[in-house]
This record gives sequence, structure tokens and C-alpha cells, in this order.
Amino acid sequence: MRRVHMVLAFTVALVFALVGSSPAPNVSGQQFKKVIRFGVNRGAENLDPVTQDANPDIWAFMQIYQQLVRVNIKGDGFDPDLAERWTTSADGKTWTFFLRKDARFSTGDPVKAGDVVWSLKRAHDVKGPWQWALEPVQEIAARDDSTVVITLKEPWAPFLADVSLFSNSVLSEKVFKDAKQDQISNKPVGSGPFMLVEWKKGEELVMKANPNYFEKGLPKSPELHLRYIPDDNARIIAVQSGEVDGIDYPPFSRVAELKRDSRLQMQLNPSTAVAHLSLNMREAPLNNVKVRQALAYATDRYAIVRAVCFGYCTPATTFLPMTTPYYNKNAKGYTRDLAKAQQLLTESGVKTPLTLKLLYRTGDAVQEPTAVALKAMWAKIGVNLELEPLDRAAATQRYRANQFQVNISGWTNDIPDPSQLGAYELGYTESQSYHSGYQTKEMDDLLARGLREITPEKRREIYYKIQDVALRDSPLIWLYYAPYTIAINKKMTGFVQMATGPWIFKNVAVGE
Amino acid sequence: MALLTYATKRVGQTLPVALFVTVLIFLLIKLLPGDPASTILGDRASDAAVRALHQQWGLDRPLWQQYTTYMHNLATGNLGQSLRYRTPVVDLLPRRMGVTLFLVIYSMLLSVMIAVPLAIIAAANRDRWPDQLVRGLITLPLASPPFWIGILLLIVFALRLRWFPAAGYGEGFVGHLRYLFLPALTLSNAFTAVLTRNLRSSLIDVQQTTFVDFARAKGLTYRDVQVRHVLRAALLPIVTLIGVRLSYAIGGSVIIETVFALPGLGSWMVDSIMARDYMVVQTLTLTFAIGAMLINLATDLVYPLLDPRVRMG
Repeated sequence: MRRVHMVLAFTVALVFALVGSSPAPNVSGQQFKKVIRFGVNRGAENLDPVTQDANPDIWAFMQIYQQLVRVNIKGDGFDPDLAERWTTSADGKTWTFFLRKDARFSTGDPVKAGDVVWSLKRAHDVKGPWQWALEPVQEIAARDDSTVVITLKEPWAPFLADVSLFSNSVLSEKVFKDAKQDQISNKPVGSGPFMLVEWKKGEELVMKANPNYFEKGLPKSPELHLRYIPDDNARIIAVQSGEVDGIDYPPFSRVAELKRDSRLQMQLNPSTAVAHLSLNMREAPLNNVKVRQALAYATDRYAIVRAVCFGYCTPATTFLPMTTPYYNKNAKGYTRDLAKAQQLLTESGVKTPLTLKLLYRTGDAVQEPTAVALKAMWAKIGVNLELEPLDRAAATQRYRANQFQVNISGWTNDIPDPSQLGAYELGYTESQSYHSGYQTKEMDDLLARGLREITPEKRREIYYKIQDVALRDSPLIWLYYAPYTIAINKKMTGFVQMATGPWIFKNVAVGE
Repeated sequence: MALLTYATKRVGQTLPVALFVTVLIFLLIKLLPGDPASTILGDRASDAAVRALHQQWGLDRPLWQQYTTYMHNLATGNLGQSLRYRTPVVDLLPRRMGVTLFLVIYSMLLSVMIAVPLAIIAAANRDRWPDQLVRGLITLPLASPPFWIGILLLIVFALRLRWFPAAGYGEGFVGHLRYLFLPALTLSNAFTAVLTRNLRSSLIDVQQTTFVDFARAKGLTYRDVQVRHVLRAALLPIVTLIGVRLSYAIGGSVIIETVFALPGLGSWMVDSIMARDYMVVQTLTLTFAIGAMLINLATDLVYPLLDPRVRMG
């Protein structure tokens, strides 16, 4: 039996060896960890600011790139970034940006006006989801090495917000001018606080502090690792066990438990996320405004907030998120009123029981319970909701082809201005009003005026009116405003998340 | 010589199967609703942007043209480009394959290290309490789903005791050993149970054969009989079992890799199907198919080598 003993002994020895090989404690007396480890629910795929649309990529390359101006932390104004100041001509058509002279790319080269011109022209010309942001631009030119002049076709109210958009990041012309398209996706080079050193695709983005970053002493930590941990349970266990210092998107169902964990800080950060239903109004019965209003009245937003967000969201009262300028906090929205819903349905002349189909993404922790809740709510006014769960790719295809009746979807702003959401949800040219097919002259005129009106007070009136008309016409049913959920180790300090989404890691330090 | 002819014939037989697999997978994935350009660009992309990507990737051409291009590329060793990561698949494959192979082999070794002593103890104490205990113990992992065992192990060993890391692959050989211990243990569970049960009955069978009686009659010690004769003979059927279970283990790695956030082939496959990353799905399916064929082939070839009584027909 000696060999048997040896096998057993070897097994035991192996287990002990594995257990014993945990990293040695840091004995250098250093107070902070060298590396920030952050677990993300979706991995980055393409870090080209111009062609990428997914948040995980955008939030990752926002650590690497700078723009001319950036949104302030409160989200209601703009701070200098690469431009230390800017001026507007009296007619509002010429914008001059004066660049700071100490900004450098991670390669060591100074950021010059030529880089800005090259980058913005690329953002203007390359086909992608963000071309609208430079749509009013007529000409982009460098006056000298540190002055950029942008001429607009007409005065444009959200122009500074548009310039702050991530797609208008400033890339190094020298590095990318003759590079293949995919090089920008894979090897971004910018002047932001961090630089990409290694990208294990589908696994981890490894960034180091940009030694040439203009803000002295920042970033506080020399390394930042964004690790892809798709499974919610695995991500939560990773932060609880100290494997990572923070995670994004723990599901609402786990928020209470994470709040109780004394080692963690559970953040519910103000966001611009709005959950909604798109109603396809190309055909009967959803082309009837009374039917749409009836459905809006039959929807119990408080019950959805309880069932889907475990109480951590806020029922939506207008199409604009609460954190967006010109959000009308006095807007009443729709509160549940079954009698009114029933009455509207009768007035509409549509026969009940009425059958509608609801398209949503299967396995989605938010969409699935929303669908189930809606089915029960709408049944009370004689609407039989047929559920159509599809995987994400298939559902997206159906929705893009307008082959749906009701679709669960959502939105997050990319700029601190109502114009982007307005154009997308209520304007036909951008996306057929979120594929609802909604198009009226009244709304088109209002949206156009909102873009060109420069006086803030008058602009406010226009956007209040837009919110009223949107509620009246209800091409979409707005459900709730959701916060961003983040769980971080209490030893991590300085973490900030913007209302538009991106994380700011440059001030983060993680205690030992 | 007979073995060589046999091997050549078997390899020759697998090639048409592999070709058939490429056609099948190509058609199946194209039949799936959904499209990579829309999925990658997101809900908000304009139709023009989606069309531009289709054109760039050649997805606007007829199916047969896409297939011939794919086969032509394959023949020249070009596995295509991951649409999602905008990187050649061949650049992404080695690390991913490394993770899965490490995990699968590690779990096999753990299984053998756990199952062999258990089976010997059980067989030596047939129908007495140690045997009952072992047989009782192994029904538990057989009856529990791997993801549940995985989460249980994570909670106990990563979260409470903090002995092992909760997610990831680690750096260097020792790092991999440490990071992959819990996933490998989870993956090994079912196989350990099957192996213990089979080895136990195999040991008992061999103990009852005449050559064991003969060995005992020669006056060999109990330990020599058990190790030199019984164990060696009993291990033979286990080789086939390992071959079969290896294919299962690769399949099982899909779930394990998701639970433990491992960047292996399994989790990559799931992600890529969701994103309709055509080239990756095609490459991985082909890799899995060829892998399964090679394992079968290796098992068929190794077996007659180990047991001279088996002759090739």
C-alpha cells in the first residue's frame, strides 16, 4: 500500500502548496496598493471613440483620451480639458479654443492644434453612431499650434456639450495618420491620465499611469486593471473576497445584501438611465393615441420599481432623466388610473380583449420581470400581452426592422443636454423616434428650435413644451429612472462616476 | 505496420466529417436570427453604419460566396478576424485554448488523484463500511449541478476562508495552479465519481480472475498483487473512460468558465454566439470537433497498445 500512501500524501501536499502560495503581504510599508482592480460586467471590444457605441468601451477609453472640454462632476456645466479657455463670436457661429501648452500624449509628444483638427475631422467623416455631434460644423482649422477655430453653419445651442462627447476625443495624428483603421480600435494612444499597456481580449484591460499627463501628481495609482467578470454572482464574490477593489452593475436584487456588508460601500449613483417601452405606431391599434394613453395609464410604475429595481429606481414622469438640464420636475407624467385607461380604450373604438405582443431580451435581469409585471397590469384593462423573449442579437434585429408591437428598451445620455435624447426618441430622422415611427410637424419644429435657441430661458420653455407634447402623444411609455449600481471596497477612495456614466479613476487610491 | 495503416485510415475518415462540420456550422449560424453588425454597433446605430460594416465584412455577399471565401481562407491557414475584437482569431486562440486545456487536464489529474485511492479503499473493503462510505460520498457530486458546486466552493474557499482567488486565470504556472484549483475541482467532481465507481468494480472484477489467484499462489505479498497485477489490469478500461470523459469535460468547461470568470474557449464560445461573432464561432466549433475526433482516435490507438489482447480488425 506504499504507493497509495504516496498518492494521498502528494494530493495533500499539492493542496497545501496551493493554499500556501497566496501572495506575500506587502512588507515595504507602502500605504497604497499599486494596482486598482475593477470588475466589469461587459468586456471592452473596440476602443475607437468614433465607431464604438458600447458603454464598457467608452468608459474604458475615457481613461485614455481627453477632449477639448469636459463635463463637470455635477453634470451641469463644462470644465477645461485640453482647451484651457474658449470664446464664441457674437453671431454664435465661430468658436475658438485655446489649447493648454503642457498637455502631452503618452508617447511624450505635445498635443497640438493639428492633432485636434485631424481627430475632429475624422469624427466628422467616419461612418459611425456619433456623427450627429459634429453635424452643424462647417470648418475645423488650426490658427496656430495652440489655437483651434471651428466654424458652424448656424448657431447651435448644445455645441459645447457635443464637443465634450467622447467621440470627439483627441488622438495623436502622428501615430494614427497612416495607421490601419483597426489600430485605433486596438491600440489607443491619448493624453489622458492612463495609457493602455496590455489588452487581454475578453479578459482584462491593463493600463498604467500616463507619465506625461498634465495634471501633476495624478493619477494617484500607477496601474488600473479593468477585469471582465460577466457573471453577477462571480463579480460580487470577487469584490467581497477582495479579489477586485470594486465592481459595476451588481443587480438590484443584491443591493440590500451588499449594503449590509461592512467591508463594502454600495453606491447608487445618479444616472441618466431611463427605462421605457417603444410602441410601434405604424399600424393599428397602436397608431391610435388613445390606446397608447390607455396603456400608459394602465402601467403601475411604482409596482415596476418595486418588482424590478427592488425600490431603488424612481418612477419616470417625463422622457428626460432627472439629471439632464431642462428636466421639468413639475411634470406629472402618468400615474396609474385604471378607470381612465378603460375609458380611453372605449373611446378609441378598439375592441377588447385586445392582444399585443411584447418583445424583450431573454435572460435580462431587468427586462424579464418588467415583461411579467406588464402582462398582469395590462390584463386588467382587457389587454392580453403575449411575451416574445428573444436573445439580444435576434431581438435587436427584429426591433431594427420595425417588426414588433411593444419593445422594452432604455436610454442613457452621452452629453449633458436634452438635444441628443430628444432627437433620438422624438425625431424621425435619427432613429424613426426609437423605431416607434412617431413623426409630427409640431414636434419636429420644437426639436429644431431647441437646437438653435441660445438663450437658456427660452430654451427651457421649448424643452418643457417638448416634454408635454411627448407625454400627450406617448410614442413611448417611460417607466423609471435607474441609478448606476457600483460596489467598492471601503479601502478604495476617490472614485467618481459621472451622471453620463464614465468612471473617473485618476483620483482613486486603494489602501492596503 | 498494422497500427500505422489503421491510424492513417482513421485520420482519413475524420477529414470528411470535419468538412461536413464546417458546412453545417456555417449554415446553422447564418440561420440564426440576428446580425453581428447590429449587435456590435448597438441599438442606437444608424442603418447606414450597419450597412457600412456589412460591406466591410463581406456579409452583403451571397452565402455560397461567403462560404467559399471562408474555406479558401481556412485552406491557407487564415481563420478570419473576430468581428467584435477586430483582431485575427488566430491571435486570440492560443491563450484561450491554453486556459481550457490547463483546466481540463488539471481536473483530470485531480480526478485521478482522488478517485484511485478511494476506489482502492472501497474495493479492498468490499461491502464493509469504508466501501459503503465511498459509494455514498460519490453519489453527491453526481447528483449536483456543476454551477451549484462551483458557487458553493467559491463561497466557502474564496469568500469565507479566502484560500483561493474568486475569479481569473493568474500569471505563471503556479498562478494558474492556484487560480484554477477551484474550477478544476468543480469540473472534476462528476468524473471523480464515475471514475471511482468504475475503478472499484474493475478492481473487484480483476481480483476474481485466475491470474490473481495464480499470483497469490506464487506467494507474492498482498500489496504486490494489488499494485502490480490488480491495479494495472483494472486501469485498462479506465483509459477508454478518460477518453470519453475528456470530451465531456471540454463541454462542461463552458459552465465552469462562466462561474469562475475564466477566459477560456467555453466562455468565449458563449460570448461569441451571443454577439454573432461568426468567425470565432466557426473556428471554435471546428476546434471542438477536431478535438473530439482526435481524442477518440487517440483512445482507439492507445487501447490496443496497452492491451495486447485487443487486435485491430
